Amino acid sequence: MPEAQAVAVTPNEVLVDQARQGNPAAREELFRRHFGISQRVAYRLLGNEEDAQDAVQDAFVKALRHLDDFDGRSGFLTWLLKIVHNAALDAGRKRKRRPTVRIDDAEKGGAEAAIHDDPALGLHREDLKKSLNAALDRLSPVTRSAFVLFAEAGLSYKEIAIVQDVPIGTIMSRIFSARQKLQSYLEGVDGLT
Amino acid sequence: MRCDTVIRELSTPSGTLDRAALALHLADCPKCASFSAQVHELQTVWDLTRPAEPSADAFDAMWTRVVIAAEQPALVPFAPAPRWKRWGLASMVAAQAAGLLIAGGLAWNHRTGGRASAPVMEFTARPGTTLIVTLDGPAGTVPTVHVSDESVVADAADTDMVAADFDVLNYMESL
Repeated sequence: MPEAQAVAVTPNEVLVDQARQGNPAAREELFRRHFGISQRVAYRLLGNEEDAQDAVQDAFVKALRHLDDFDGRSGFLTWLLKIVHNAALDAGRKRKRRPTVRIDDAEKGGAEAAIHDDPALGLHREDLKKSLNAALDRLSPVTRSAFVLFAEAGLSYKEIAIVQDVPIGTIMSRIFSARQKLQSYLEGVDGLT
Repeated sequence: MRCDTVIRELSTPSGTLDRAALALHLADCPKCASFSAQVHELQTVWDLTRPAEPSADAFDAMWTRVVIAAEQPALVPFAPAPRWKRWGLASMVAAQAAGLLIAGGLAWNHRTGGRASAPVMEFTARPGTTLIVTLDGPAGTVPTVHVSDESVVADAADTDMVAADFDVLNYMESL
């Protein structure tokens, strides 16, 4: 019976230390590890894949330049997402949120395509994307980003409070308000019931 | 269990509420059960619309650009002139503008024989805003106020007020 291989995952803190000491492989691994979540958060904030890519790239450049400023008081993910969040808000202010959805998004994954094609569910993924993007667009930027950091990145209320520089109660109030509004905006959207 | 406690727990989960009691309440309360269904629907939409995980190639391409950009010297933002210099320039411009206005006003007053037309002031304000206007006219002047009803009603979504119960949390956190 073959032995199970133990895959050792280097903790973020170790990678941060190595990256600060100028280890390029550690730097690359650190950012590669958080690329997906950064991209998803930026996409939810901007509603457009190209804008999200640009925002993440800008954020990674800033983060790489200021890696020495990371003091470890929050987790690396929280620190990085704060930079991504600010870059996305800046991009949103400059370009306004474009509600376009690329058609080729649906062709990117087999599992997603399977959900899309499932007639029993009756869901049209692209329509849902447009509806959700339109609903997110109606929220104020801070309310939207609090909800996105909660629902997409899975950050705790405390971590979101660090990202937005406000008390935890304010974050909970924003998430509460965002959920109430999103649910009311999405009421009656085809494919939900 | 109160409905507002249930709604708050469903919206901003704390994990401290007794799950069995919550389930019992949802079984008995159509309003909360409907809200719970909406929470589930939103989660479904959120999951279905989650963008695909970017490929390793996408990261590699971006990382090359990031490393090159990070090695470039950062752009130093334009340093503004010292405050005294900016204020000095602004004062000069303001003084010149005031001089022109006074000269123009005197000329106009001379031409119309001192009978200036009624001043018109236009404001755009949100409903509920209190405007204080100081009128500098002869005794007995009665202002006429026209209110346009085309004002934009503020969207409650943008007010970003903190609900009272969450504000209590903020207060406790600040102690």
